[in-house]
Order: sequence, then C-alpha cells, then structure tokens
Amino acid sequence: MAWAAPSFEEAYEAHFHCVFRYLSSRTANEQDAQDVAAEVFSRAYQHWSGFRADSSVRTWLFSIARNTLTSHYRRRRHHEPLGPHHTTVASHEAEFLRQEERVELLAVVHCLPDDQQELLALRFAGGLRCREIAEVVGKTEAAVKMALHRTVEKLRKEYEA
Amino acid sequence: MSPRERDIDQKIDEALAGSPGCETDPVLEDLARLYGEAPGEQEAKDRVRSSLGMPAAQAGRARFFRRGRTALAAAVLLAGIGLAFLVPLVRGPAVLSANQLLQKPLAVGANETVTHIIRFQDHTSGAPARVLDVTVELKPGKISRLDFAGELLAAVFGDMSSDIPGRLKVREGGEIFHEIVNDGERIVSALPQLKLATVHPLGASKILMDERRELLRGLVLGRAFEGADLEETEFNGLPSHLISAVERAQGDDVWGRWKKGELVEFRLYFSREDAVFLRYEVRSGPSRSALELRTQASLVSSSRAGVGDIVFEQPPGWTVWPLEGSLAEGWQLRYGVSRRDAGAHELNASGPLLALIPQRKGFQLERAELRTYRWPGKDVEAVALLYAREGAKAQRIWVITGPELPPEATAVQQPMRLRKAPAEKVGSLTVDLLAAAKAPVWILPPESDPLPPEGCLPASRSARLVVPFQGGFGVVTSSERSCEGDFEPVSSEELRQLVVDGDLQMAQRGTELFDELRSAVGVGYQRMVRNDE
Repeated sequence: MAWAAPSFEEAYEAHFHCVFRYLSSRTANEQDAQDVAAEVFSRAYQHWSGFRADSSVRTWLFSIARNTLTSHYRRRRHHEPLGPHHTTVASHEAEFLRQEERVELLAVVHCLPDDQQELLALRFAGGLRCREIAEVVGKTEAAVKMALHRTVEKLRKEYEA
Repeated sequence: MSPRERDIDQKIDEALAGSPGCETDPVLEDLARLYGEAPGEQEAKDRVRSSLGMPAAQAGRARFFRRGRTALAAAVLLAGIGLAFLVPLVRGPAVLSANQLLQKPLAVGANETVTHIIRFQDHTSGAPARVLDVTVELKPGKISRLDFAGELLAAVFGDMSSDIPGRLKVREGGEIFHEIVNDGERIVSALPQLKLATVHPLGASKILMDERRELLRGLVLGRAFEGADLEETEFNGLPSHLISAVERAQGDDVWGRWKKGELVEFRLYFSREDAVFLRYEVRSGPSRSALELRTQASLVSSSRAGVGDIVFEQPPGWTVWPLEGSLAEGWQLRYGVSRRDAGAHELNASGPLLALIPQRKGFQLERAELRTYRWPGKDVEAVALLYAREGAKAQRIWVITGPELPPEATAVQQPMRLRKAPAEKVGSLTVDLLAAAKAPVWILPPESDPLPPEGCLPASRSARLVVPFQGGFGVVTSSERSCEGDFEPVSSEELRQLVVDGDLQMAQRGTELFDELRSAVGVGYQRMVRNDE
C-alpha cells in the first residue's frame, strides 16, 4: 500500500503538544509561547503544500518552530529570561517543595549557554530523539549525543553542588 | 563517543516515560518534570484552531480523518480553512484573547463601527475553563487603547461605562446571557447581571464567583496608578475572612512596584480550604514583572489566616528550626525572603527565622546561609537556604522562596547559624499562633500611651493591644482607632496564646518590654506588622 501523507489536521493533532512544550520552554512567558505557537502553525499551514516527505513532519515542524523563535527574539526589544515557566500553584507541602526544587533547577538551567538550553528543550520538552535533533539543528547524531551528555553532566554538577 | 554518551537517549527516554520501578537518573527525572509542563497549552491549541479555522476537536473526528480521507472531506476542510482566512481579511470579527486585547492597538476610526469578539478564558490549572465570548460593537469615539481595555473589562464584568457607545454581548456556551446596550446616553442591560462579585480597586476588576459564592479563582485586571492603596478598594460579596486575607496581602510592596498607567493582572486563587494564593503580574510597561505571593494550604489554618500571615504550623513528621542570621540595616525578612520594600507582614530582620524541616531518619541539616541576590535596577532578594543531606544525596532547601529571580542576579552569601529550638516550646507556640491568628496583636512600647497613636491602627480593623499594665501586661481590644473596654491583665503564659503581631519598630528593639515579651513568648518569634500610617 502506498504511503499516504498525513493531513495538516492530523499533523497538528499529533505534534502540537510537543511543539508547544518546546516553545513554552524557550519563551519568557505563557503568552509569548501561545503567540509563537500560533505563528508556527500558521506558517506550517501556509507551507503545508510544499512540505516534502524527505523529512518527518515532526522535525519539519520543529524546524519551523526554531526559525519562528529566532524571528520572535529578533523582534523583541529586550531580552527576557527564557526557560520553562510554570504558573501552577502549590496545593500541599510536597508539591510546594517540589516546586521550589524546580525553581532551583530552573536557575541552573538558565545559567547554561543558550545552545545547551536549546538542546535540553528539544530533547526534554519537545521529546525529540537525538537523531531527530540532529536533523533539526543540522548536526550529526553523534555530535548531538555528545553535546547532550556534556550538558546533562554539567547541569548535574551544578545542581548537586 | 563513550558508552555513557551513547546511552543518554535511552536514559532520557526512561526519565520522560517516568515508569514506576524503573531506576532512572534523578537529575534527568527532574529535568523531565521541569520541561513536562506547558501552561496554557489547551488555550493555545484552541487559539490556533480558531485562527486556522479548524473546528473544535472531537473524539470521532480524528477517526474520520484517518479512515475517510476522501477528496470531499479534504475539499470541505480546505474550503473552511480558506474561508476562515478570508473572512477576517474582509473585515470580519477577530477573535482576541483578553491578553491580546491589552497588548494590541484597537483603533476605531471615524465613521466606522468595528466589531470585536473577545474571548475571556480563565485557565487556572486544575480547574475547568470558563469561556466568555464577548461581542463588542464599537462606534467611533475618543477611546484610547488602554482606556478601552479597562472600560471594556469593567463592562464585561458588570459595570458598563457610559464612555463606550455600543453593544456588548456576553455568551457562555453559545447562549447569550448578558447583553448591554449603550446608546451613548443611557445603558440598558437586557439580561440579568452576571453573578459576579465586585472588587473595584483600579476601575476595572471583578472576581468571578460561582453560585455558591465560593470563590475558586479570580482574574482581576486593573490599571495601576501611583498611590493606589487598599483604602480605595471595595470588596463586596467575598467572605469576610477572604476579604481580610486579600487586604492583608496587598501591601505597598505590591502596589509600589507598579508604574502609573501600567496594566496589571493579578490573579487570586482560592482553594476550597480557603487558602489564598495571589499572583500579581504587571502585564505591560517598564516594570513588567511577576510577583507571586502565596501561602500553603497545609501551612495556613483554614479560614483564619491568609496570605500575609506568617503562620507556621508544625506538620507531623516535621520539626521547626530557627535560623539565626542578620541582614543589613533596613532589611527585613518575610517568609525567609527579604525585600527592600518589605510589605505589611515581615519577620524581624535580626530575629530568628523558622524553617520547617522533614523529620526523617537519615535527614541531616548541615548548614544554612542567607543568599542575597542583586541585579541592576531591581530590588534585592534574599533567600535563606538550608543545606541538608539525606543518605548520600545532598539537598538544598529554600526555606521559602520569593519571586523568580532573574538569571543575571548575582548571589552574595552570608553564613547563618543553625540552632535547634526546644521542641516543647516550638510546638506550643505554633499551635497558639494559629489559634490567635484572627486579629492582629499590637505591642506598644512602654513609654507610649495606652491608646494607640493616631494613625497607628488601620481604619476598620480591630486589633488586640498588648501594653504594660499593673506590673505585667494588659490586653485590650481596639477597633477604629479607639480602645473599647478595660485592659485585662494577662500572664506571661497567656501571652503565649497570642500572636505577637505588633508594631515593633527596629528602634524599639532592645527595650525592656521587648525583651520581656520576647522572653514570655518563648522562642523569640515575632510577627511584625508594618505601621499603616
């Protein structure tokens, strides 16, 4: 049976969650994440007919997301701290402490160079495998794995210090 | 590439999967949790759907698209999407979120009427979304963007401004349940008013309440102006203890952060246990920032205390540690967080901090430090950090944290001394703090008149005063700046039953009375209330 390309709607349903999580981790606040997400999928929709199946829809969408983010940063007059942002409210003791740990981890992540933060966002928020990240950022899979390992080790060292 | 580097993908997969029983790396797990949440996702998804003209997602529709991928379906879909793109271009209504509304210019030119559909969605996590679609037909007028936004919000939530000629419809679930018509001269409300409680501190704010008048969460949008204070705030329809909690949570530290004309969003979260959470966020303007004041359901007694109360309840399995440290003059600690413009409820600057530490076997507290963060143009935050070890794992505990610190903040560390408080004193004190949390207690210096000085007590708020009396201490209840009734002598033991929540200025520290009170209360823990003069 011939392979049938997914519809835009299917691609949207399948990948919105990961793309939005990634955008959320790379923007300063929830509103920005929503704005950029709207732009990403608008661009994707406009270029959907030109999408060629020589890459996966997923990596194609993440490439658009990265480019849109770059444009977004450029448009901003001042740089704001990026990273996962959480607006949930602690409802009990354990959750409260967990949230504090998150804040601490977040501070450590913020201290990483931007390319390493990007790597973490693609892997953890976007859920991309190293092979897919390599495709998105234009590196080899081995290079991505090595960079990811180094990033995690660096973060571990800082976090557990 | 080493084997560890090769394995990183697999390890991260395990952490992301979070499968129980699967031993993964704690750091990777933490990262997975950190990146695992994306607030506002559903709203964003709906927004994209709406902007691309895609209908709302339904369970059966995905199957239809998978199975019935027919040319007809595609044509219908594409035609729908195309139409949705075209309609706004041909001057159809735009769907805007409240935030967009506040950020984008809304110009109404001469001789034209513009229709906007504004979707208000309260998407506090964990609660079902409530969406109000508001259709506003505007006629040309002298309405600036900010004015329009503020007035519109006021209109949406019950007060139609005469400055906006037009028609306003509020829909929920597709059904119009509120319609306001303003012909420029009079306002006609066609349908019954929304069941909304009014809080009107800044001209445009309300709190949504459900029918049982149990406020679950609220979104208040207002325009800040210099000098705004609580005296201009009216709270109607809120349970009194919540009003009190909200009032106490709003200090000059919050209001003072706003610049004139900035749009400020502050969210009030209430749980069914009446714990109060507030989040203030400046949405626009030079001081755009977020300040979160929050309190814990488990740390705050239900209905008797709220944000601003420093109430340490000792949960089972936890112990309380005072931390001894000092801050520079003029600094005060609140929840373990210091702030130059510290608000109404603060811990004593040089007094002990209390920290709640889990009482688990193998959990060992090692050291504490006070970390001060400084960055240009901002207030300085100080956070008390505890370093503990449990087994082989080192832990860092933020005693209580404040607003999110910017990454460019640099830390200045100061050592703090750990001292374990006698358990029997701590236990009784914490219980008593909760018991007496209803009204603030003011402690007056010995040289002062038994009556509080003019302006000492905030209007409309009762307080219990503790003053030297007959060689001991006396307590009297005061309200509206006057004392009612006689002073009743209290013993030192009875004093322990009170929350020491007084007007102890720094200059008054070291006085004989202060020392006596401190001794009487036990561990020297004071709740400070800033003088509202």
